Amino acid sequence: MSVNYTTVGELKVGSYVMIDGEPCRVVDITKAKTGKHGAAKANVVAVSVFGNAKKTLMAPVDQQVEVPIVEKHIGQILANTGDRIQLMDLESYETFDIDMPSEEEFKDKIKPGAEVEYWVIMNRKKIVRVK
Amino acid sequence: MKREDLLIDPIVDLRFKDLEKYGELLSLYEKVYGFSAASLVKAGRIVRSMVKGADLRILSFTANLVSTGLRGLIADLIRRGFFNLIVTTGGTVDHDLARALGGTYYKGYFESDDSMLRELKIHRLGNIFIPYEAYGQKVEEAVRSYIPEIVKVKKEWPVYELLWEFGRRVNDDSSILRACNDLKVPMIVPGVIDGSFGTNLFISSQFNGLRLNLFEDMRLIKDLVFSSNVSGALLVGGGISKHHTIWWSQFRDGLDYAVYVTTAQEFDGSLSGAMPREAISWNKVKPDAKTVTVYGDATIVLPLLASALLD
Repeated sequence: MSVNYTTVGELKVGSYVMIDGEPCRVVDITKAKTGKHGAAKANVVAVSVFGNAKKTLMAPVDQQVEVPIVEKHIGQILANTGDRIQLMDLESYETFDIDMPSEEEFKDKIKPGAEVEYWVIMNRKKIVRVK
Repeated sequence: MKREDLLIDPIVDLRFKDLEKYGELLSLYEKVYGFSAASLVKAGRIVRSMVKGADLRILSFTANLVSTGLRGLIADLIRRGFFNLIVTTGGTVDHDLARALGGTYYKGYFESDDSMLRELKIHRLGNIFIPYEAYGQKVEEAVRSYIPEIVKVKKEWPVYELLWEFGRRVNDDSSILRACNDLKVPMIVPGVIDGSFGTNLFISSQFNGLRLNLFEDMRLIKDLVFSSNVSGALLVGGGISKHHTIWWSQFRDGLDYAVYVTTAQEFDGSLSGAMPREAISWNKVKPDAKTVTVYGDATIVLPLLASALLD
């Protein structure tokens, strides 16, 4: 699968990490050096890239974790069917369907002809910006 | 003060055979009789007849004792078959594992400068000093090295079976977990998640899918209680270990033998301080059961009581 590896200690706010099989963006990290539980522990708070669910992970800083690889692409909207958007990649000219982004700010800008930035993470696609 | 000046004299484990050269000590207290001495003598007699007469013999105790030399004595009480079910608190697993894996605890004192101890990375448990590296780190190492092979067998474990797996892997004759595994005596730890062991299991579970099934522990204790003819318990200390023991006993109309060793008082209505006669009203102890409460610190009382079990 399209992942790299790092340790919990290397994660920073804004890093991407897999939690419960979901690609997530880290929004907060708290480190605790507790004698009681051995090595230093980090509590990672992250938000799922798809679905915006909050996920947390507590682990020693030397614990290995998966980092999803984010591929960034530019596409153009061909059609808007309500729930789904038909998009064409502006490099490969491949066309495909993609979910309507849930962010309110995108709603007005989503129309045929608009250029968007979309990401491919773990074989799933998401619109992150409308130009 | 330097760290090495505080960590000098290690805690060693008392063994049952150490009692042999002193013989049965309770006859001394028979002569004294007044006041708590009489309860100790009575407790010795009840424990003796319980070991002979009960097919379900429960030892419940709290984790603090496992930091002391009583750890080896408790392991031997299991090894010698005096008890065939253990009910205890989460910290028992922590201290037993830590010490089985070479964590050394030291003789200290109550009147310590705790802020200094914190600076020196030493925990204080009563008058016992526990270096950080002798405790949490040991438990974490055990979980991180054993769990990956354990989850290969299956993901979901009853706690008592998981504890046997840990007992099987530690090479320490005075380990309680080891004694439980060697004799296949179940250790029931209803509060297993409360402590270093539980926390490390949780951390581990995020990566390997480990699951605890506490209902299987309940099923086991239920089956043991329902299939028993005569049941007895030596309950050392209070809290969840005491309650869980008497809780399940109610389903067979209560314990036939109950010896409480405690420093807790009944006036505040606490479970820990409640006397055996209160448990009668809850069906947790039979009205005609042989019962006694010994008021005293278990670190003094338990070796004396155990001497009643010498041949």
